[in-house]
Amino acid sequence: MTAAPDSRPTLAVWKFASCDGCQLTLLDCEDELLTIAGAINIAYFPEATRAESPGPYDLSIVEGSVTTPHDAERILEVRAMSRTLITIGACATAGGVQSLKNWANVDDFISIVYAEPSFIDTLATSTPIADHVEVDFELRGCPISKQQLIEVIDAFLSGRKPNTPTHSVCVECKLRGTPCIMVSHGTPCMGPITQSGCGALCPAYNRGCYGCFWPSDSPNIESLRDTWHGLGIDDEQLVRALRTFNAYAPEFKEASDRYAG
Amino acid sequence: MPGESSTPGESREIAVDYLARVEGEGAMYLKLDGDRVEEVQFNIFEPPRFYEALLRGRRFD
Repeated sequence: MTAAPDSRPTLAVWKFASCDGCQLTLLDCEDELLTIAGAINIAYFPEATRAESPGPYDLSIVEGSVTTPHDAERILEVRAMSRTLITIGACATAGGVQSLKNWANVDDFISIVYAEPSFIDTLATSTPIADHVEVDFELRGCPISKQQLIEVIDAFLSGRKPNTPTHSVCVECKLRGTPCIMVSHGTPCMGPITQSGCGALCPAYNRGCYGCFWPSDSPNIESLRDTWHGLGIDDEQLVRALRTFNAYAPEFKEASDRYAG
Repeated sequence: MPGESSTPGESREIAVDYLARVEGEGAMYLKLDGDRVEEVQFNIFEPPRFYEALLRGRRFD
């Protein structure tokens, strides 16, 4: 008997400037991993296996932001060999924490951090993948949610739109039965302007939301600002909260620039 | 690759182009003469993210 040709779609996982946490979410699937590996052919995933098959690939999952001249070229090659390209995580979809350098002089940063600045080749900015190539879907989060990653892969396999709600973390607090920590404890929380997906993890442990999952749909940042002012939080602290995981997300960037004065 | 037997005077090269099991990515090149390491090159190709610089002026909490 000869084996039937492998008809499974091929998957490639790519890394740019990032911490690896989002692509490791795929390995973290554990119980679902064998099912995923049965449905797709993991053709290129250096973080998981050194075995690799040549492209083109049916699905590319891209983690990380573009911060070097080399990566600005490499993402074009990745796009060219990918039928569908999905970006995962705050780095790939918003530029990540490292996009904070977009407000600074990168040459100063190089000399602060590195003993031999001449070894460092970097762009002045950290930018999301969608600033460089066409992206078919962006999955938010720092890190992404395992359930949402499975949902996105499943949607790709069945040719449908992923169901990843864009409403705020507040909805997830209500679903979880967590009393509002901002109302009941006076804890400043980014939840009202942050997209759900984390399961409202931090408020469930009495911590304000840090805004890991990108701005929610139509965020009312001005209203949140008023509430935070009422809690004694000034604009300097609000700007820092907005400039964290998704600092370069358009709504957070625009608001933080306005409040920074 | 590591684990292979070595003969004194025999020159060997070990090139690992993707060290994935470290925080950030790198590559390593080793040149050996028998059991003696002649040359080691460690190449960090993980792009710099400047966390140390970004943290300045931020409160710990």
